Amino acid sequence: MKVFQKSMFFVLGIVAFLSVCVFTFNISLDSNLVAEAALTSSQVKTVQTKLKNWGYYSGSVDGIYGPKTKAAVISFQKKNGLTADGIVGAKTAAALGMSLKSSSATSKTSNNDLYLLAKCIYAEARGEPYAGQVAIGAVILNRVASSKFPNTISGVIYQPYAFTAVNDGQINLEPNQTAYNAARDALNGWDPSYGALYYYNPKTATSSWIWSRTVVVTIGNHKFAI
Amino acid sequence: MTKATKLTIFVCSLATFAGLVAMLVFGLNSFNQVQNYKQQLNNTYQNNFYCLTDSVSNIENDLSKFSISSDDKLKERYLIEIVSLCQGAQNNLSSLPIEHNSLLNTYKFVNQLGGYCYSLSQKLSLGKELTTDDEAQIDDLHESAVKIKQDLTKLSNLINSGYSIVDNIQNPDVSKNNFSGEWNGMYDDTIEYPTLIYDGPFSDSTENKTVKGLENKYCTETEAKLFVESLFKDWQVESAGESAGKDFETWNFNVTKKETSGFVQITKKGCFLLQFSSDALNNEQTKTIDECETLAKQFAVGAGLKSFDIVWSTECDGFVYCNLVYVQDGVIVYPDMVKIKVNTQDGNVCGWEARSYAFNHKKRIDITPQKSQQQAKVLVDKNMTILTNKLCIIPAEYVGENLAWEFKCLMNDDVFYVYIDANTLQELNIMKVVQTNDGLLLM
Repeated sequence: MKVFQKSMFFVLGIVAFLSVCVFTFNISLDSNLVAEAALTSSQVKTVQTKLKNWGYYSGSVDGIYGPKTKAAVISFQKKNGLTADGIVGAKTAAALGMSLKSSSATSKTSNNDLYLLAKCIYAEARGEPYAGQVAIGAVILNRVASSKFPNTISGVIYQPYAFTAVNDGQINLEPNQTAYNAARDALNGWDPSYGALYYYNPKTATSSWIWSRTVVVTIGNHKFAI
Repeated sequence: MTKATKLTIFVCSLATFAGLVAMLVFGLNSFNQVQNYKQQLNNTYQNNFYCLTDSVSNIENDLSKFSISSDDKLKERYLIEIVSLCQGAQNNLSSLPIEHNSLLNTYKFVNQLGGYCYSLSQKLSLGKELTTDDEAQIDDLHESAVKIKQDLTKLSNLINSGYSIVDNIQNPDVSKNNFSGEWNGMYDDTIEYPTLIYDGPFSDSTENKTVKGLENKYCTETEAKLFVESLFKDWQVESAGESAGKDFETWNFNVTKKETSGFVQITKKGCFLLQFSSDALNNEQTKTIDECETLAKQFAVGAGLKSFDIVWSTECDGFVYCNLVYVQDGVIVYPDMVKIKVNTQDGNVCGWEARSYAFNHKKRIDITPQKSQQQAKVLVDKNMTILTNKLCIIPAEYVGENLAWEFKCLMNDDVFYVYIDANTLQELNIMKVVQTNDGLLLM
């Protein structure tokens, strides 16, 4: 009987272990990170566009919340029974038919940009010389400014097939201080790549197309190209 | 066989069976989840694709309506709609699993169309008239939009017939990735896109900037090395080859000092310190911002800069970033800017960025304002308290420069910089000082 009891405990143990494994695996698959979008000047443009279309605003759609825009917002608020304070808060935004989830902190925008940039630099170029890491950040920012790429840092980084480290998940590694410094330098305008839009490691690059690009500078293991 | 052995065999068999059942449950569960994720991903891709086709279709409609409209207000409305649609189309494009080199021209078209329409809408909002060239350009763009719409319709038909994008994206290689292949096959890359030069974002003119700030004499690598050694006295300097960018040709050097290493780029033309970056870290802050500014100025003098001032400094993670600009007869020339990074631990300059200076620096000819500071001052919002004012040259939004009155103002504890054109009194820009974890930012 003792043997039977032991065996039963063994069986139950295995079943319990496997159940825990399945449960844990499910949890790990289900969990995800939700990144909050941040306010951009395009939201001011959206406000201006809507107010212009509805006849409240006659200035240019430039993304600047100047006196004309403020006056138009106040006029809109008065007409719609809202507090006429010239501030596009949650209620005014709702009346305008737009979301202002991220409008509360412009600083968040820069923090997210810095964090994303640092993550990509760390994932793509840890172990490379510092200037090479800054250059990777600069390539991302050069792409943002180029007509041939998405217009935001997250758009460029998460563009399908753009970065190996994003495809294989290394982007989720926590960046070190050097990567943060490199990202901050790149955001401050440092660009040792001279405006490069591409880079590749000649030892590992498999795309024949990338080899056709004109190389501008080589830093560490990376060739930077336009 | 004893009873105990039989029991053991029975229990082991049961354990194996239970294990198999658990594995089966696990496998089915995982399979269902993968199917679920695939479905969600496919829905997202399809949503982006259909949104893209809708945007292109609406762009095409708005362009054709624009062409036949005779009212400037209505034209402006169509242009603003197109700008918004282009932004949406660009977002949708960047979410599709297609190799970048297959999308280059489409991106460029969408971005430039948005930028061009934005510049035309600005023109109309200022009461200016569109030229016949502008109208003709819109007609050309309309033709391209029609062609893109037709090509996207072919892809729509494919997806409508049950094609799953997500089942065909396993291989990023275009030749093996069927969706990129389908895109390349159906989307005609021979569409002719007009070259667009305008005063707005993504204009082709921005790709043709000329370097104005370098002296017209060339230096050898030895001369450049001597210059670097004079600037970085305690550092070891080693040659790191040369670079030939679109705008600058440089001699490159690796510099090291104890555990810190850096990369220096000296222009061949003019022997000018273009950039320097180093991996210096900061463990202890011993220098104040004022001390760092003084050290930055000393370094700038050594690098050959004359007549300048520091207009902005901010500290972050133990490093002070100083913006140093050229000053001509008391006028601040913002386009001629050098950014200097100073380590507050030892006061060493650990970064230098001078491309703007190299691109723009020259003696300005006409810096006498037609409108007085008093005339500009009355245009500043009455609720703001003016702290300081200066005459300055600022870069225009896309191309060129403007002479402007700068007013530093305070309102509700927020600091703003307001720029008013010193010749036309037009309000050019407003910058807000924002306190962040990364120091003060101008946004």
